[in-house]
Amino acid sequence: MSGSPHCHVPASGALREGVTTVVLAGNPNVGKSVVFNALTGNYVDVSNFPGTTVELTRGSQGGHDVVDTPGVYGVSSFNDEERVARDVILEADVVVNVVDAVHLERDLFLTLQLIDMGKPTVVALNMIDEARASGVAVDTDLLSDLLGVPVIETVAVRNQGIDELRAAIEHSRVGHGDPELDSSLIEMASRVGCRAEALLVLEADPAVAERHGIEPADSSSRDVIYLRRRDRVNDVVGHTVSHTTQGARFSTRLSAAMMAPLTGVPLLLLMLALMYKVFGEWVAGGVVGFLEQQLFAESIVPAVERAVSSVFAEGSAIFTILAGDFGVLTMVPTYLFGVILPLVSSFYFLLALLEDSGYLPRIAALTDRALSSIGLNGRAIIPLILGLGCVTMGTLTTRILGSKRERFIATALMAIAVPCSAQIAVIAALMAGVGPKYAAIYFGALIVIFVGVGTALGRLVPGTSTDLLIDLPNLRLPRLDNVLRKTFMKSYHFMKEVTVFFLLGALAISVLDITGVLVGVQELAVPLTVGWLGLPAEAATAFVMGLVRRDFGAAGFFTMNLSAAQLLVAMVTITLFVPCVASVMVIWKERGMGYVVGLFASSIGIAFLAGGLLARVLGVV
Amino acid sequence: MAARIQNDLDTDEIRTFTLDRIGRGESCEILGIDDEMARITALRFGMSEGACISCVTRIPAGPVVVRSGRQEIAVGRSLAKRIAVRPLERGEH
Repeated sequence: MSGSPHCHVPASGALREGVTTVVLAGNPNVGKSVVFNALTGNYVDVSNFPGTTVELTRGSQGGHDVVDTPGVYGVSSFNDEERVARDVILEADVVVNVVDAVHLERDLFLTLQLIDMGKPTVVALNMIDEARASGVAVDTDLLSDLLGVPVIETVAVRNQGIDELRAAIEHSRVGHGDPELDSSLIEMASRVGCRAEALLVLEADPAVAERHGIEPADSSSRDVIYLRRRDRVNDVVGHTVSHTTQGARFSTRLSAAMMAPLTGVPLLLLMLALMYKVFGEWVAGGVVGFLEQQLFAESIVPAVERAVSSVFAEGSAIFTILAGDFGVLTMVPTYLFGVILPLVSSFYFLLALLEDSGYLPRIAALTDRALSSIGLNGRAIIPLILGLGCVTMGTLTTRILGSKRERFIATALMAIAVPCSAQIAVIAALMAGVGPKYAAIYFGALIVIFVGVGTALGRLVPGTSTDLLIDLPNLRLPRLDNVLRKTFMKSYHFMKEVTVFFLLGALAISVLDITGVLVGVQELAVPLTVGWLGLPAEAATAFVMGLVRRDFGAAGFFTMNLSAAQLLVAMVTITLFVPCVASVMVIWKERGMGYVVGLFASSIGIAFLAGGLLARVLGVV
Repeated sequence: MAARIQNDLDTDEIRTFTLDRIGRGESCEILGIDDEMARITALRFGMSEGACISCVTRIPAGPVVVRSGRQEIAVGRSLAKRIAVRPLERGEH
């Protein structure tokens, strides 16, 4: 293994002296994470937040540190993923570049850039089985000769080629860079200290240039380098890839059908109906019904109450905190394990299926027209769907959107009008008894508000939105083990975070209850809760709980005996009500304090306006 | 062949289209992309100026889906209007 001179990157600081850092780099959807898992085994240090593409995964292999990076199409500073990937790659001793054998025209662009950076590289030619199946033959030996680095065929999902890849890491080489770049690279490297950063400066990367106090090259210099690299890629592909067949496979036809409105809209509706069936009926109705109403309400909670009351008198402050209405040993486990865990894990399961099948980008293409009418483009469907899982996650994913204006609109829409899966879980459990008519009104009201808020924002928020330009990965049957692993990881991280909030929230509400503050708040809020919304005075408690978490807020309505119409008013209001503390913190970080203040004012305003109007329409008031 | 090239030169104005006007199944050569960010992204995908692409499908009022090599790419309608292309005859490459 040849050592490379280290670039001095201030950012990550996680580099261990004397230990070789192997960095995985590749385009999105090339199976990079699967290669990472196969290489490092089970012991990995995962990002602290699920689902985001920006966090890093670290592990180790054969005494080396291995770092996974977000999928990028090139090393530069066009978005957050690229900036993170750029800095990690700059620190790398060895880069394992995972490429999709089916899409070498696209993937080798990054490969050649890594080689031009002078990084010792190994190429993992992944999904080689899929390439063969779709009639693409790759001359691996010739590819390795032309690139000047080892190329290893892998099928990471089947663990094929992983041992060879591991061995090849020890034989990584600096490949054949662009000869025409040599003189300017050597000159620039003498100023910035290493070849990799020199290349990025020549490619007009403003951040790297600034670190060295150099005026970045202008974009025409980048265009020249990029165009020549594109020509080299086309040349390499021309020599090494041959197409044996080009027949219209079933997946090609299915792909077209997913995007044509006449077939795509029914397919999308069918998928949503299926999701509702699995989510709303089987899990929320069946599984949650059993866990929450039978297992917890009839067996576990009474047992806990008995046990606690044998030590602390019923009605005492400690009893209330442990086993009261908001007890940390009664209410908290009921909602965490009886309601939220089954629904959130099934949501992540469905999401992983969607992600791994390649359907999401096609939904983006299909919905581009509709989303552009509210100032977004089709890409925004990805954070919006993730927002259905967790608004925090959706908000972080707005980073993939191309402009500030789009991130502004998408974040606001999610925070106001998109219920998260945990909240849907509680709402579905609450509304399971009141019939489909009310469920339909609930979703109808949300859609009206979503479109209304979106249209208003699309008109009011200044700036221009970017246009859709996305690549569509091949459709493939998701692999169950991969889907289950993702589901487990994401559910685990979600539950870990939720548990803290639920415990603290329950404790806080119990304290407010014991000290009588809650009653005070309820009395103060009577004009709003009783007068305007037509709900009992205790509803104020639920809204206070809703400040902690949206699902927690919805859960606050469990103990009240509400009519079906009242329940609907309560659910619409609490859905539109402020986002949870976790997402507020993320929104604050991503969009700033002014945005949070505006969001609070508008979401509370819209929530009570819509709730009050609905109460009047339904004759609750 | 020579006559047709001459013809192309004569009617250059007429024969230069934008991508949004390409019909399903038709092929074209990319002449220019009037958006810096989109140009770089497209170049990375393999859809550089001079590349030959074919239209897979057109979503009414929505994106144009093209194939460049083995890669399918969805291009938003208003961006497609800023991509200058030259339609290719059947068999021309």
